[in-house]
Amino acid sequence: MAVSGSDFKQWLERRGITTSASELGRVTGLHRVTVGNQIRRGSVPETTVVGVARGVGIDPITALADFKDYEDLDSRPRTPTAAEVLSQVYHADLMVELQHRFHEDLFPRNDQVKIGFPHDGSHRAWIDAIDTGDVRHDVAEKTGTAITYLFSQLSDNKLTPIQAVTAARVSGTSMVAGLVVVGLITMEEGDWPVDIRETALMVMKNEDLVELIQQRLNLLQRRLRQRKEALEYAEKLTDLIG
Amino acid sequence: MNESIYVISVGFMLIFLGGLTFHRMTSKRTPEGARALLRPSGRLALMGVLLTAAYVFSLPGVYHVLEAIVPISNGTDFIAKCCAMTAVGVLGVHLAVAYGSETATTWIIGKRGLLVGVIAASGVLFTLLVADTPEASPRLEMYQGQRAVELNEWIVLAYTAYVLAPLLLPLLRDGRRNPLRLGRLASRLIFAGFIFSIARALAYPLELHAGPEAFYIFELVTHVSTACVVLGLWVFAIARRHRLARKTLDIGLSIK
Repeated sequence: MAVSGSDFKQWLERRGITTSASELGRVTGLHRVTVGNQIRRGSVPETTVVGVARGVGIDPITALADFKDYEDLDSRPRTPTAAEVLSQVYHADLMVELQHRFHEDLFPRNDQVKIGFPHDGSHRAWIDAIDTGDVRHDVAEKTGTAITYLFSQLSDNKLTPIQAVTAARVSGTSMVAGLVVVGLITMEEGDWPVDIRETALMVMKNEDLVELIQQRLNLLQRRLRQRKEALEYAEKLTDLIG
Repeated sequence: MNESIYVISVGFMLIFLGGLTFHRMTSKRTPEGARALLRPSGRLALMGVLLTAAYVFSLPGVYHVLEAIVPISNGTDFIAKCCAMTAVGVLGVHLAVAYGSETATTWIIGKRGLLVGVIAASGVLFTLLVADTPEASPRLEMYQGQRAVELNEWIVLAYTAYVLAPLLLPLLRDGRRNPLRLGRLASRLIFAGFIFSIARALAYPLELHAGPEAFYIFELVTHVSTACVVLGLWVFAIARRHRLARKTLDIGLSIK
């Protein structure tokens, strides 16, 4: 879902920003025709709003909160929970930490988490981290998305900003965190300290770390099986038909 | 009169034996000698040969040469149509086996499939004998106005639609679910080709209403349908030759 073209235009006028497509193109780094088409078609992606906000020096969260779908965006503390932060740590980094706890000389701790996000499965991991019960069904219902499509979006790391905000809204967590996770705003814009992932990893209890790794490995196992089945199916079909 | 009875009886015997042979070759308990047909490449080769034969027999030069040999007037058209129907049957079997569709397999080569095939071939022969076609004419083009010839044409289209219809669902499913992009494209192409063929069979009354002059326009639909199917098969062949599934679908752990 994106913001409507007329709302976007009104927002530009309210903020005293030019409505010229070429000027907006220059500010956002998009082609002027692209921006013009977005406005004309009445569907302006959140990335354009954030791009314009950055270009003219407005806080992207404040800018998004000017639109109806995001008006409560900054109504909760921006700080993410530890589970949310850890959801954005790749399992390879989790395992490095586990090895370090086994033998700190043989396996020195990473000063920095090596793998950034979004990583493979990070959107799904974030939803799992904030899930209080039936968040997937609630998001699907509130955003008018088919539940099966939402599942495939999560598998493909293609959660949209409005889905992320809706998920946070129904689970009572920071609504800004979802936008950081889907990559609409940066960690800095979302008030995430630079070393937030490293800190969360270091203070994690052993049992929690092992449990999280186990969960991730289960997911990885399922994913590998699915990929293997997909490969076998595609190979069999091409061999039989071709 | 005696000659006509002879031709009719031999014709029907050929259809009957041909049908049984097709059934035997494609059944699960296939004799060793026909196992080549169970292999995908064998089926595709047979389909290619039959389809090419059907097109070649319909070329005016070839058609007139064969007419001098065939005992009934325009018998070459009957042979070409039988070749085309068998090619469709072989294609149907090929895809039914590949997509693992039990329904399609039963429809095409089970007892029901055999019965429909024999009825269709008999119908084509019978309508040809009933029609008044003294002069050789490829695709019976000169006699398009005759009711028997119209029926003759429709039987071929209907048999094609009968074979292809149960494959639509597996094709549609694969066109959406195949993990390989080229695989999805190929299935969609074959699906489109089948839709054209079935649509022509269903729209046959419209074709009759349009008159003989529209014959070639409707023939174009069949040609487009054939092209789509052949292209789809070709895309699958490319994917197989270049091992695209293995190259594209990653099952490794590396995230580099």
